[in-house]
Amino acid sequence: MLLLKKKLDYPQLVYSFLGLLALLLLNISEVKPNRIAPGERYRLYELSGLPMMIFVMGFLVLMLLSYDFSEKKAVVSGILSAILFTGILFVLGRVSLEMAKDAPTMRLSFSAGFYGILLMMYLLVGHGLSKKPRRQYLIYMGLVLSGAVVVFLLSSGQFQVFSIMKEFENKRAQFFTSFTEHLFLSMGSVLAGMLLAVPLGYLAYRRKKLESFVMVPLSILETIPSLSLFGVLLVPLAALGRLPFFKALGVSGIGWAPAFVALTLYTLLPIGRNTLVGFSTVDQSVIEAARGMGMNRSEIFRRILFPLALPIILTGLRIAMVQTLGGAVLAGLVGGGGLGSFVFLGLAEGSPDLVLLGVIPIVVMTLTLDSTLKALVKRLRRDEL
Amino acid sequence: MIKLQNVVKNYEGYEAVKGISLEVKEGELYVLLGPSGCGKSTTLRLINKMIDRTSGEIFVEGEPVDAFKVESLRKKMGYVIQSTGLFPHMSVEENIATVPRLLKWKEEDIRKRGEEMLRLVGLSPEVYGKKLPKELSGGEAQRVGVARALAADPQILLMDEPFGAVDPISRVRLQKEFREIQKKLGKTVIFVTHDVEEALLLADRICLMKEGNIVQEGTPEEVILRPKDPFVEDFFGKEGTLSLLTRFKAMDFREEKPLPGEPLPEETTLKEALSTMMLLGVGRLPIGGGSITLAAIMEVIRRWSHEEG
Repeated sequence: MLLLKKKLDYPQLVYSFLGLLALLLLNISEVKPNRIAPGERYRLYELSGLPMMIFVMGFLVLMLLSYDFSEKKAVVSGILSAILFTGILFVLGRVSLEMAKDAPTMRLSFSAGFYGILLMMYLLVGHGLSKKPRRQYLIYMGLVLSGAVVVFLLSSGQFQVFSIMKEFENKRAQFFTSFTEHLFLSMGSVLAGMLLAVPLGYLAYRRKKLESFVMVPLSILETIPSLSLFGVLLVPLAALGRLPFFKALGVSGIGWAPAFVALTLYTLLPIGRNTLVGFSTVDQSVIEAARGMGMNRSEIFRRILFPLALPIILTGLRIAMVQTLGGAVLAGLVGGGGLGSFVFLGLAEGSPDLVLLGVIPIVVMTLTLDSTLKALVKRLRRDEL
Repeated sequence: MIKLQNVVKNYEGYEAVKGISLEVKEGELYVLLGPSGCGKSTTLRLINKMIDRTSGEIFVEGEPVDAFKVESLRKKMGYVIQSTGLFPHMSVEENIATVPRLLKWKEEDIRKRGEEMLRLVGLSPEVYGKKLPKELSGGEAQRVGVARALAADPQILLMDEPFGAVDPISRVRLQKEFREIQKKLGKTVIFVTHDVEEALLLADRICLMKEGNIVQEGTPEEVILRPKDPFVEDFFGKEGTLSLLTRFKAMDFREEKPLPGEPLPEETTLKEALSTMMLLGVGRLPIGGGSITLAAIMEVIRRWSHEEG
């Protein structure tokens, strides 16, 4: 009781405690003799000896940190989480290499415990960042450094027994094609969406009467499930594909065209709405002053309205980007390529590792672009801090 | 300098300005005074065509306003509004540089002018130049607003309740300082306010408005001592005469006779001196090496009643 009465950082305590439970109680990985045969599941302490003690201690330290509310703690906890996770990956790599010495077809895939720990570590890092400690950059440095270590271990073959790496080795060429396709499809859709939605949002701002004419259709579009949108687009795009110009572009009822059109349509609402909000939040007195000082319409737009609305427009762009990177998975269903093809192939073959091979790069892309755009917006918003 | 002839502003079914005529002379500080909704702000905004008038004619420097391109008309006049309208994404320097930049001045001149303007309004360029508007207090922000309006050296300044949102203590200081600046630079100023004290402190002439019409126009002494009708009398209230004392600096009525004790600040007005005397229960206070007496203040008031009689 005495313990509970003291002020505690409950999220910190809960996340690290659940992490510890996952480490102790859940299976961390499954070891299979080959791709098809069923395997055996292990907890981490069944695989590694001494290092296990270090991990347990790490989690205990994370739990103890919930008594501390300082900024330093947020940084320490964020960095420690990243180190712990990298350490677990490293140990799994070493152990699996050892086990595979006499069994070349052996492979190791991740089980619930691994994902549980990953989730809790992610939450802990996010929790640390949400405190906005002054030395926030230290957490980011910790993350980048851990990422670099993982990449180094990956390229030095430490993870070659992991089944996800085996799948990658089999599909190396296709992986890079799909990765590029996915990136280009998403970026292209957001770009096209931006070119359409920013002017639309500005129009809705300028002419209040048009606002509902512009915004309502965009909201309705957003509610159509993407698969049915593919179906709806099939006929008109197939028709369009018969015209020579579009045929040369490769437009048809299936393939990249319906995916591109659908993804573009979905970006219109977040970008258009944020554009409208961005312009609407510019203080009237600021515009009044600009007019009174003799700025003409285009000067007011270029020097005042647009720079002040830009952070919010970029936030809309960021939301659209995140949404599109995820949504582009569905392109795999209509032959549009992208990492979705791995996801659906994996589902069809019952191979979770193949699914992961598609999902992990999407997560990495999303996190990278998301934080880059966030940082950009933060820079631009110096006036509103 | 500025002349309005039978100017009317109609909104749908509502006449905000009902055919007013007035003339503001060069170098004059002309105050449009009145209760809210009397049309004083509308009148001001008709001059730089922020609003278009329904009929009548407005002349600026002898030319009808329609002879100018609207943007160049506005650039000829500094414009200060109550909410400052400082651009939140630009530093103080950049805000002040706005009109000079629009006029394509040389960067070097813009920078020099910006520093000069900041010093003029009592802010140090080193401390304030790089700050953003959100880092300023209300009083500081409005000083920057004035500096920005003066940056391109316009002959005319239009001010719409500029000190209305500033706290009372800073407001009085701003008013006094602005009065000095205006006299020094000799700008023609049209100043809108509903605050009687402010009008009396600043104005060369006051134009009292009510429901879109001019009720009375004249120097503060004329308006207060010879009110045309009960509305004017009511508007200035019983303390009208007392408020007139804010127009005089105690320093100008000082006697050479020194007095021990903490002297009053040099910018003290006669009204403030009188209040302090009443508060302390004394008839003489030290100021600027000499002193000011109750008798001297009474003499000023007596002179008015003579004029009136």
